[in-house]
Amino acid sequence: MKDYLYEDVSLKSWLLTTDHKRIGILFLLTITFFFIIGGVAATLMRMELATAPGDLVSADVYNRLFTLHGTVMVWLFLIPSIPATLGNFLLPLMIGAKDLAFPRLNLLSWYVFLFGGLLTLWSIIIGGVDTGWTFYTPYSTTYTNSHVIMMAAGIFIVGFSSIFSGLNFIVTVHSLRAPEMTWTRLPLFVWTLYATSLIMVLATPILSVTLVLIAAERLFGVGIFDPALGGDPLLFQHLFWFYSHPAVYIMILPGMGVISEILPCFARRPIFGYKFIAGSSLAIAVFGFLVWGHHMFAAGQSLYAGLVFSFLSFLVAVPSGIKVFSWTATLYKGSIRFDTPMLYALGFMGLFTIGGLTGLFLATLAVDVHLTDTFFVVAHFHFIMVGGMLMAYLGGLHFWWPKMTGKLYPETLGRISAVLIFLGFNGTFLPQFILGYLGMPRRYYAYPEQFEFLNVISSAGAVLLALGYALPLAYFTWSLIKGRPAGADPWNAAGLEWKVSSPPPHHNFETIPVVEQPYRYPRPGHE
Amino acid sequence: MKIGGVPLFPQQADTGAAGVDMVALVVCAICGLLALGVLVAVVYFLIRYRAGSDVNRDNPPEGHLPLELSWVGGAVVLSLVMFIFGARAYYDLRVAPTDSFEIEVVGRQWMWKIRHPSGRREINTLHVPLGTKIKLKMISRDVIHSFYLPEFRTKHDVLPGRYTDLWIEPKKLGRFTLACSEYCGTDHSRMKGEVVVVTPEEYESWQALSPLTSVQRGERLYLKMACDSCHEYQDGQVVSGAPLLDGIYGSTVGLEAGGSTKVDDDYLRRSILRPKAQVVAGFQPIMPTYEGRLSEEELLDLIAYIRSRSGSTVDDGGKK
Ligand code: HEC
Ligand SMILES: [Cu+2]
Ligand SMILES: [Cu+2]
Repeated sequence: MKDYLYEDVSLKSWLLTTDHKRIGILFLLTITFFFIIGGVAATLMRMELATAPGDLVSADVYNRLFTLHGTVMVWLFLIPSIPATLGNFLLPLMIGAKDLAFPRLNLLSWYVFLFGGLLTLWSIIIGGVDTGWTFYTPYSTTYTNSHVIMMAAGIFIVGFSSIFSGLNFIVTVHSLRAPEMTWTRLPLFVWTLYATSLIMVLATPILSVTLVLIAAERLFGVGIFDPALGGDPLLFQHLFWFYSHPAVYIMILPGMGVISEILPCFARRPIFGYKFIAGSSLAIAVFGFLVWGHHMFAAGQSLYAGLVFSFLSFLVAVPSGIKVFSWTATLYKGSIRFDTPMLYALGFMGLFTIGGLTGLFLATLAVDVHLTDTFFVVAHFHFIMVGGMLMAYLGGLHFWWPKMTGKLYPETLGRISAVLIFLGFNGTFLPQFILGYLGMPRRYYAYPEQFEFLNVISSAGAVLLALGYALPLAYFTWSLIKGRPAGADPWNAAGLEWKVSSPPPHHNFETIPVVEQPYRYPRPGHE
Repeated sequence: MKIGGVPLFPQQADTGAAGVDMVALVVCAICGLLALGVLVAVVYFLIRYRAGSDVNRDNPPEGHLPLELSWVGGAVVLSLVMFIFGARAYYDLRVAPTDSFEIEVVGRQWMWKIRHPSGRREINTLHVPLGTKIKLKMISRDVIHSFYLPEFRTKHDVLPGRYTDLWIEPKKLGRFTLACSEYCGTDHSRMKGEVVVVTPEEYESWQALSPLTSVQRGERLYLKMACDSCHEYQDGQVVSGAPLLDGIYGSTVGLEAGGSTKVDDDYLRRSILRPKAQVVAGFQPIMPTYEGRLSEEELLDLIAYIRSRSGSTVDDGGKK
């Protein structure tokens, strides 16, 4: 019997596929493309910032670059990253299903994403947008003359892809689990996908509405956000962050799920605190909706609103802390191997911890007033989004690559890339914390002389980081052709996805799989 | 603090700066300890339990309720500590003392216009007297900007259509950074300037060099725009059905549409720009709108003048 890759190799069979695995691969290719575009923009920005005066590009180009970088990375890479690729590929396999609940909706999700993504890209090609990914009003509605509507339309459309995937995942988890796959046996990755999907379905419509309101004000002069038309600019910020803060959790929760899969496998022992980890994912999804005002402590929101939002922001940090502690305890009495996915997972733990803890500085009211809108914030969220999510994504890719492609990648190169990315990342972003405390505002195209030294270090770190990313791109591609065959279970891992051959057959399972307790390590009968 | 000419810590130019740094240090200490704890535990486990090492691995725990609950409890308590420190300092940072001295800031793409009570104006430079509590009353003519004084550890967004404020108390003579920290278009990174802290005596003689105070300018404008054609009494009679503006500042007025509102700067601004939006109880909506006919600076002058007729020199009615 042929696997899902070779069952039918025509282009048509790929473009009309409803197989969740193939759609996962389509998403993988698409978001890699967008990641490269966002990465090129970041490279140009770091080059510009390597010297204090604005010399490489013009201010307007720089402003377009950071808008491009933010928009593409957030909506076209991070949000779909793990859910749409690994999530799509693995969710049915992990719960013992033959596919997602709505396979055609899944394919539609990819087409919608591709169309919205290309539209966004089009807005950049025809001249770009210079509002920042945050689209703050009234700059975005009244003052800028860049292509805001086109970009907003692109993101509006991409939002439907999120909603479709979220719906699909929720229904699948509820209705397609194998008979013995009870809720307390669900892999933690599935729990996080479930929590993420809830946020996608509930938060994304708010973004859609907000983008429509922007278009209404910009096109027809309806006074919503611009005070000159009778609107309120803070209303926009409330709406925007009501989506965008939960979106941060869309971007990090699935990463946490991946780490919860990798750690037990390479520590060869069950995960510590299954119930607390699963519960904390749901807690994050719920509390995440109540803290958006922490982006507005110095924006003109009332003193009391500030107090409430600060308090709730501290509470939302608690479940993330529980996860870090549980992962640490998972190493206790393990038998730890240091394969590539594990190195990525450990890197994730380090960077995510720093990212999370520096978030507490920003939740602390008085300190946030000084730090908000500076490079401190830039460093903080890159530690979460790149140090956290991207590390987890790459860790997950290295972990499941053999399953997805049936091929092994060169292990040594894998380890080198993990170390390189970790070092390059710290080199790039640690100096930015200091820059922020020193008072360097973000989105600055030229900056005072005294900040140059730290910026040079940051740009140098970015070179290492870029090398680190180029490496997997190269050896993954190489492995497709020359990689050794992986076998069904190269890591000797628990979990239903490892019970089927690699790459898995078209319909995943021939018979209904037998489900055991999650994370049964060491593997009985193997070790 | 500097390493090889590179500063690692900004100067403290404000009496409140040390307080903010203190809170940051408390948070830093708590977070540092947590990070260190996790780091030590992870490294220790990684070394001790590396594959092949000869150690006891019997019954690795899959959970430990008391331990996990203590994590939750501990995290909540530490959070509360940080929250309280931050909230107290925030209160001090946000709520300007009532006896502060007011300077007006109008932001626009891409410059800061500053106006002192004496009427003296400057652009991208803010002269302030040492050791004085100063409240900056700010508004933007176009998009959102943010008035950021890193050495004073404070900033606040400057919004179009609404006054916001920021207060400082300089404790060091010298020149300090003023920057815009809310992205506002092409020259956002060039929208910067300087705060010059001088002695109160120097400040007095500096600001005395000014033609007219804002109240005087406001009075002139008031007459020029013929506000008095409606808003005056003649022989104890209301001339043309408009409320008297004396003494209204800080009071509460009833509205024709029901309810009431406090008369503060934002209210005055709205009443002048869009009088029909909030009509005073007992009056007809006959006042023309001045939207588009007055600049932000002129509005500030008019408001200063109306305020002066209530014997109020600073914006103390508008506590938010
Ligand atoms: C045509 C007559 C007229 C003119 C000219 C006029 N106003 Fe008025 N104004 C009124 C009336 C009538 C009201 C009360 C009804 C309302 O609130 O609109 C009022 C209300 C106000 C209020 C609110 C008073 C309160 O008690 O709450 C302020 C402040 C004010 N005007 C300021 C001004 C200023 C400043 C000007 C000149 C730039 C001006 N007005 C010109 C008729 C006028
Ligand atoms: Cu947030
Ligand atoms: Cu600006």
